[in-house]
Amino acid sequence: MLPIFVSVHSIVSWDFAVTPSVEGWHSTVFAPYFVVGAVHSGVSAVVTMMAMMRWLWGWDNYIRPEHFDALAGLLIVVACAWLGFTFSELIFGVYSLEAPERALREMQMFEWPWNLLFIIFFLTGFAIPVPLWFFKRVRNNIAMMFWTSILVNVGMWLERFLIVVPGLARKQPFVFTWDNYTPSAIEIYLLFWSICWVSLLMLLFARFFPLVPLFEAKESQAFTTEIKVGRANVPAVLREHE
Amino acid sequence: MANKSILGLYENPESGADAMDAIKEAGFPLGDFDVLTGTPYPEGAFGEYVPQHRLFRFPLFGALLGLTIALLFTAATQLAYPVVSGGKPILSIFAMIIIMYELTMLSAVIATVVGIIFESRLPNFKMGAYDERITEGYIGVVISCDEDRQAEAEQVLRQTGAMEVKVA
Repeated sequence: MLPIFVSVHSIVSWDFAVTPSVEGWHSTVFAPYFVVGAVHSGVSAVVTMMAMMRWLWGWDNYIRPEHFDALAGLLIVVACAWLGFTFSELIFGVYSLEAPERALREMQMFEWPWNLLFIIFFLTGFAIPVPLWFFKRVRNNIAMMFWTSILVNVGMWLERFLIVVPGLARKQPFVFTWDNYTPSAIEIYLLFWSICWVSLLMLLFARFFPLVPLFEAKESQAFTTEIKVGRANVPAVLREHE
Repeated sequence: MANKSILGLYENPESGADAMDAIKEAGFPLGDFDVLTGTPYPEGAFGEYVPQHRLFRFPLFGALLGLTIALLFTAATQLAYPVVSGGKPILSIFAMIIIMYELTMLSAVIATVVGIIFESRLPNFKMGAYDERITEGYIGVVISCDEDRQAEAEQVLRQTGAMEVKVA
């Protein structure tokens, strides 16, 4: 799955990166940037789904705070990598000091309403959730993990919005062709439809396939033991060796 | 003759494996009996018939189908609206590669999922005899046979130590 995941997200990023005519898209960093961004938003979506399943179906014994603790640790690493790539994408763009690229970045960060979206994107994608995840109390709190994962997904959606729309709004070199984008009712409906579609598919999957493999849960419970190392009792998993 | 499903419930894998051997010796065809467990066991643990897996054919077929569809899709759209941009060719393979790769992987993955469902013999509309104790760890040995062999099947299961025999 990992080769598929890395290759597919790299190829998808090249839908943008191979376009020389759109400012902000023609960058070599897009492949790893999109891969890490997908991991960031994907793992956050997993946290969201886990919290919802625990709440919906009462799986308190199977989805436990230590699972969220472990995922939050992973998310900290991935979010830091994502921040590095976000910074790289900005720096690569403005390094050449080309006028169209600089104009686009200035628009993204300093012009209304893009500056507000940019601030929200940074706050929700990194600045709010990641420092919270450094605290064990937050990592073991299911409600906090749920809401921080929602924030991350909002931030990642805004990241893609800020990649696609400002670049296309300033695509042509003639200033008189520029216009500001406003989403139509149909586009908002399509966004809402896509969220409902993903939710439906998840629920259908949950209906027909087991989400928690009980035999694995029972196996880990059966093999869990403690071994004495010096004067300490260390939790371990027992394995029989022939 | 109506097809009957006869289930024998066993406490442990050893007695389940003994039952499978006895059913084979009784002359029931290999595809007519199977073992039901709540947890995965290694293949061949009960001496069951393990057919050759054909799962690899599904992603291969899906990938070829996806590649073909993508090639036709991109070529047809470029030929239908031949926009000359900067003297570049109408059919540009490099521009088509991204869509071709995406549809190849998408079709391969979807075909793999369909193949897994198919190889798992799902959906199973004709659910035979079942006991909920199988989910809790007991072993079920189920025989599908005609009515005239039903008594023989029940006898084989009882002789090999079945806790309970059910017929559906």
